[in-house]
This record gives sequence, C-alpha cells and structure tokens, in this order.
Amino acid sequence: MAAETRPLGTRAAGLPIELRAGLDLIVLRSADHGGRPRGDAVGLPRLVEEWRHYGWSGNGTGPLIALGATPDSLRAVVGESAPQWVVTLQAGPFARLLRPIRATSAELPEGLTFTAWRGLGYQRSWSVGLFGVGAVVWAIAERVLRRAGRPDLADRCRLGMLRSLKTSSIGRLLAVSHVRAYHRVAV
Amino acid sequence: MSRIDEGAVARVVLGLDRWFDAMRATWPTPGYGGPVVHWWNHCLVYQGAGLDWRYEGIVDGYLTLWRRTGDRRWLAKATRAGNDLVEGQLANGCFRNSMFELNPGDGGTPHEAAADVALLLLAQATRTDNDTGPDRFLAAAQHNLRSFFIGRLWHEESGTLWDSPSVESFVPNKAATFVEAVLHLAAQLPDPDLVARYALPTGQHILALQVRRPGDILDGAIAQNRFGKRVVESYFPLYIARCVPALLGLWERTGDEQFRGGAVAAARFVARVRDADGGLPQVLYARGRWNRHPRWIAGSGDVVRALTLASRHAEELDPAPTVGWIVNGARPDGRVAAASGFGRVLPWVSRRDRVADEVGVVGWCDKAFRALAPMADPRLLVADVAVEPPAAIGVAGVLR
Repeated sequence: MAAETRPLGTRAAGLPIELRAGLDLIVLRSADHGGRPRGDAVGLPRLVEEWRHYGWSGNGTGPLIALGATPDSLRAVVGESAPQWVVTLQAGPFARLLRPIRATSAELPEGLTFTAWRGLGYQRSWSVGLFGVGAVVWAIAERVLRRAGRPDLADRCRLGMLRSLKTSSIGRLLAVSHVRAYHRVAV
Repeated sequence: MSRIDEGAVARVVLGLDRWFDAMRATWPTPGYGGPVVHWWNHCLVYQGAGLDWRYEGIVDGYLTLWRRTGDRRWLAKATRAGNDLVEGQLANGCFRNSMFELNPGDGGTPHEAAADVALLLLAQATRTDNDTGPDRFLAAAQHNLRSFFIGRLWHEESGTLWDSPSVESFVPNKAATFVEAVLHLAAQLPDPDLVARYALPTGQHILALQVRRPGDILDGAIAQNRFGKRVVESYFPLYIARCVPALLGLWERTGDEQFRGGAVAAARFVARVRDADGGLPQVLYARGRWNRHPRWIAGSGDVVRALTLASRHAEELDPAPTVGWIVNGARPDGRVAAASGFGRVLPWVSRRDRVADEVGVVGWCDKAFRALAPMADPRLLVADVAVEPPAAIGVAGVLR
C-alpha cells in the first residue's frame, strides 16, 4: 500500500513530495531572470545537491538557502556570514506526528525559533506551509478508497493531495514542513 | 483508413518545428527545455534542458522529414538533438535531467530508454553519412542501456526490468520502450544475446499483464504496473498505445504470433475506448470505472503511431480521428496544446489547473511531431511557416 501512494513511476529514492514542492518554491522565489537559483545552499547534502540540479551556476549573490540545516549550524553560518536574506526549508510541528504513517519521509530538523532569529538580528518576511491538514485528509481518503476498491476515486484524492500541498495561512501551524524567509534588520 | 488532410498536417508539423526551435535552452547543457504538465505532477520551475523522452519524437520526426524531402536541414536538426544527448550524458551513463515531470533529476524511466531510441535511430539513419558520425550516437545509447537499464534496473533472477533498483516493480509501457531500444541496438550490433536475454522476456512480461476477455471493454488493455505479484489494475490508453510498437517489433524479429496478437488486441482496446472527437480518456479501471480527464492532445501522437502500425494487421483500425484531434489542438505559436480537461479532474479543487491544458510541453509535442511527420504533404514541407512567438501561456497561471 505504501508504495502505491507514490506517484506512478516515482522511484523509492525520490524526495517526499512536499520537499520537492519546497525546493520548487525556493527556486521560484530566488531565481535569476533565467530561472537559475541564486545564492549559496547549506544543510542536508541530499537537499543541497537537489537544489543545485535546478541549474545553480555558482552565483553566490542572493539569499542564503538553508535546506534542513540544524539550528546550531544555522546559527553558526548566519552569525558568521550575516546574509541580507535567509530562506529556510525546515520541519514543521506536524512532521513528527505523521512520520510513522507516511510512505516517504525525510528527517528534516525544525528551524530556529522566532526569538532566536530576533537575537541574530533577523525578522521573518514570509512563511509558507507545505503538506498540512488538507493534504493529510486527501491522503487518508486516498488510502481508504483504495482499500474499498475504488481506485478511480482514490486517484482523484491523490490529485487533491498534490493540489493542496500549500497550506492556508492558518493551516501553516500544522504543516509538515515550512519554507520561510528572513531578512536582516539589525545594523 | 479515413482521409487525412495532408496540408493541414504539414502546417502543424512546420509549426511544431518552429516552436521546437524557440524552446531551446542553453543550460545545464544545450537542449530542449520548457515546462511539463502531467496528470499528477507538473514541472514548472526547472527551466533548463530536459534530456528525456522528448528526444524520441523529435529525432524520429526530423529523420522522417529528411527521408521524405531530402532536405538536409531536417537531418541537421536531428543531429543537433543527438548531440544534445551525447553532450548531456553523465559519466554513469544517465542523461542529465531526464525525469520529465519530476525534473530536475537523472535516471528517468522510460525517458532514458526513449533517448536511447532516438540515438539509435540517428545512428542507423546516418550510417552512410560521413558528416554526422553515427558511432558516437551508438556508443552513448549503448553506454546508457548497459550501465543504467541492464546494469541497475535489470533483475537477473526474474528476467524482469524493474522500475527501480530497490523496488520489485514492472511497468509495461516503460519496459516496452526498453524493448524498442534493445531491438534497435540488436540491429546494429553483432550481439545475439540482447534480444533473447532482454527483449523477449520483457515482451512476455508485458503480455502477462494484458487482459484477454473477449466482449469485455477492457479486452486487450494492459495493466499499468505490478508491484511484486500485485497488479495495479489501471489502464491508461496512451501508455497501452506505447506498448504496441514494441510488441510488433518483437513479432517482426521472432515471428512469434503471440506478440502480433497482443499488439493488435491492445490497439483495438485503444480504438474501442476512443471518443468520437478522436481524444481518449485518461484512465480506465476494472468494473467499468473511468477517469476521463485530462485527455491528452499532443501526446496522442503515440496513439496515432500505434494505430497506424497496427492497422497493417487489422484494417479497421483508423488513426484519422485522433489525427484530427491533434490538428485541432495546434495553436498560433506552433505548439499543440497539452490536454483538455485538467480543470475537470476534481471539481473545485483542480479548477486552477485548467490553464495547464494550454501549456506547450516539448515532451508531449514530440509525439505529435513524430506521428504526423509521415502524413504531411511533402510538397509543403519545403516551405517556412510563419508562427507567432511562443506563448508563456498557462505557466504563470498554474504557478499561482
């Protein structure tokens, strides 16, 4: 059952769908005019490599991209380089709850707290939640319908999940992962 | 076979040619780029070249135009496409960013096998042409087939092509593309093992997933995939159409009638479920269930190809309605629209997806190009056709 909930043709080594969506979002918001990602990426090696596949050309001007970086390492690199902008991909509070039942998952750490960012001289600019309550409901509905012998409806629920990956502003609180941008305010 | 308007087809082919040129990207290595829309996943952010199944139709289409007209500009474009693949091949044999709707990423199936088909067609067609150097195309295809498909996906114990090195899985339409690539390679190399060891057992596995229930609407359909022993009983007409050329190829190679019978049965299923306007539903399931939308337009070129090939063995099979469906999907900038009905899959939830219908996708349009190139009026293929600049239509809307 677990394998079937992956999109057809997705191999076992593929990223969880919300991480792919997170990388897409980060590239979309930070790319140059040619669509290539800018900045430097730190964090989980797998995610950094995936981000570079979008066509990173070594252009370091741009935000610091922190992909699953631990709070300690993030604190260190931000403290040292003091970038104007930092964009993070990190786990949300829902991640731990759902991990046992998800077909695919990745061990993303949770990011720095609001207070920690303020201490470093940064303020959150925007935040997007990925894979929240809506997507979970669709995913559960898919599994139920597949067991009930309704693959036609299950496939539509799968589509519903994929089209509901981005949460509402309230739903962000329960998302599996977040993409957040911080800008430096302290002098 | 019904009459096909060869003039209209030629205009579509020429329009696609001009549109393909506009979709060239320069990074990470030169190649055809552009967005992808697909049933479940879209690829709208990655903007570089994708070395995937788009090359199969592009190369075959251009080679067809070259053979029909003698005009070397078509050969030059086919060769350029082949060079894209050679230059974009990684040390491990895979092609860079070959995962189509799951891009960026390498090791896409059936995409890398389809790229091999493109290279092998080019190598074969240019065997006597000193300017193109076919050996490097053959070498690149062989490197990919042996390193990736045979080296990593082939499961020796069961004689099966897995879809993943770590998951026991078999996907007939992807395996069929692998069969086509192996048959093309076997035709160019003195290796008697290739067909017997890889193509034949794969063809048998494809047939093992075919429904044979005369009188049933699903008769001839081929199940989408199998995990271990568990068969996923979804039947996608487009993917079933992609099995037909491989099965016919095995029949031609071996004379084994089960392959021809399977190919004709699959083609008859596709024709049976086709709509009056020439389009096809997305997927059928057991017990009479359907998901009709989205209905592929440009990608239906593979249906045309399958029905055209199979019509040589079953006269009642007629690709003309689907040719008309594709021609009606041509747009002023030369692309053929991706689909009809993305917004109708899930009422309300997928309404914003409706703009995906109009997105131009090189990896769908190549199928229309390949299928229509043999049908176009050759007298018109020597002319240039004015097209509008490529429209970025739909992508921004889908991204919102």
